[in-house]
Amino acid sequence: MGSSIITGLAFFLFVAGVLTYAVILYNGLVRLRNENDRAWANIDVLLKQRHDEIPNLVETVKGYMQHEQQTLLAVTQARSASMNAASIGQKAVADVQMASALRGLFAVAENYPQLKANQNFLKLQNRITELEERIADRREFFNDDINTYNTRIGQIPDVFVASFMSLKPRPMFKVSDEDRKLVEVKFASSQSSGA
Amino acid sequence: MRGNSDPSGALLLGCGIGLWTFFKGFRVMREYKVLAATPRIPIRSVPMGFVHIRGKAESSEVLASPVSHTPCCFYKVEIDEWKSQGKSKTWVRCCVDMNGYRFYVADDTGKVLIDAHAAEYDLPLVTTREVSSHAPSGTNTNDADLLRYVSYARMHSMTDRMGQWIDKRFEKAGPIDNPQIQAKRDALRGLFAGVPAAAQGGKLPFEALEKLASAAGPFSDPEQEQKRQMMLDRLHLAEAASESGLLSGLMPPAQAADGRFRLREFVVIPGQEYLIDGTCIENSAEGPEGVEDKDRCLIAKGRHEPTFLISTKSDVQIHHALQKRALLMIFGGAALTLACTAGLLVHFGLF
Repeated sequence: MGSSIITGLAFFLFVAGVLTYAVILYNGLVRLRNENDRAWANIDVLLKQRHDEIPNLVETVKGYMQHEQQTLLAVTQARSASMNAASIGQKAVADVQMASALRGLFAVAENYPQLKANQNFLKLQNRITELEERIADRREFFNDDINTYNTRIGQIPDVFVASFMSLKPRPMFKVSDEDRKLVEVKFASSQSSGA
Repeated sequence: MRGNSDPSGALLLGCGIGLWTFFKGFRVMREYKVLAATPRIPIRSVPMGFVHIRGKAESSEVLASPVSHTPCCFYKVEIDEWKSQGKSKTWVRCCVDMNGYRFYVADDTGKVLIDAHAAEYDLPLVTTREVSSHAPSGTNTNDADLLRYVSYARMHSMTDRMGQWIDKRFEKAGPIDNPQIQAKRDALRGLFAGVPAAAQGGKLPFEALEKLASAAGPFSDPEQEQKRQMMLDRLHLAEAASESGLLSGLMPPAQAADGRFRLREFVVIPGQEYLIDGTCIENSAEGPEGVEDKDRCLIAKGRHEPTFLISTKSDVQIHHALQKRALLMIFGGAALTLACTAGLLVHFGLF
């Protein structure tokens, strides 16, 4: 009788352990999924802040850079593309476009000493540069997070719980080399047609 | 020769401990998974919520740690007492005293404020001291100071825990931005903070008592309001008497603890690198000037994610240690439960 009690208790501990572990895996995957959403929302916040600064920047430089319409147009178009982007992939392409356009604008501004001395322009330039750095950091964090999530849902034993929860791999916030080249060629050609 | 002692109590206790350890091991496993799944982020881009950062401690305010007098931002002292338990003697945890200022952790990209209270600390041991009140006469001044510190630490750790309990109760009771609730909470915090010093012969927390009495009213019942005003007047008088030194003869001198104690000290030192896993929250304004831009974020213990760790170890070392501890607790707890159950069955002749 004693051995059956021991066996029963061992079986109970085993089942309790397996169930508890399954609950931990489930909760862990739910947590990872929500962390991914939070990490994306944290990037979105910065992208929106950058969008909000662009009209002020364009207004500030318009008066000085009257012959750089193509450069200003590229920035405005990049902003519209970024705001209209729906999926993470589209937002990543729009982000590359915006970064290229802003780089071009700041490079051209070097030719206008009066603009460079404008306090408002300097403040906006610093603010946008700071936002770009923070977007880059959070993008890296987001991609790390997505990588952890995608790896976990593909590994045993999480894969069983993940298939029960219908979890699928998620895309990273990055642009393929082909798309990046396409954006840069498009930007370069719009610059040369304006020159 | 068989002893007369009945081991069934100890075996039942062993079963209980085994089961508790078994399920607690899964909590530790959860903590390991949370830490392993959170990537590190540069400090300039720290978002709200659970974060994992690494940087050097910086602080304009330092205090001397009580045992080794090391200048530090924060200290933790574990105090054990030498006690007899049945036939054996062993060290028994007496209390854990923690104190310090908020400090910054900085990396190449920026810095962020840390409130280290309520964190789990994985710090290198700075010093271990043993003191005893039964040592031969002519005990050096240092030992006498440490014994007085032990007495203070017991009171301080208790009032600290009560303060944290009060905070939790107030959070459940109402929104934090209600000024009356905020005033009561601040008054109670001040009261608990002042009790340890008062118990050691220091100033009584009259100001905190006055704030508590003020925050409680005004009452709609005139009789109750009159009583409240009378209490406030008496507190003003007592404070004035204390400041003029009239009460100094009545207050007990600082008490030294009695017994044999072991003090183990851990500190957070400015300039040393630390790994922090905690929750980034908004730093609420505490002064008339409000909070500076750079101090808007504060890393503290989260309400929903209790994990808050400050460590000098690397990520790999922490994860490895946590995983090992979780597996040890799970399998060790299960083994202890089974062994104690087998022992009980043998004792009752069922096996």
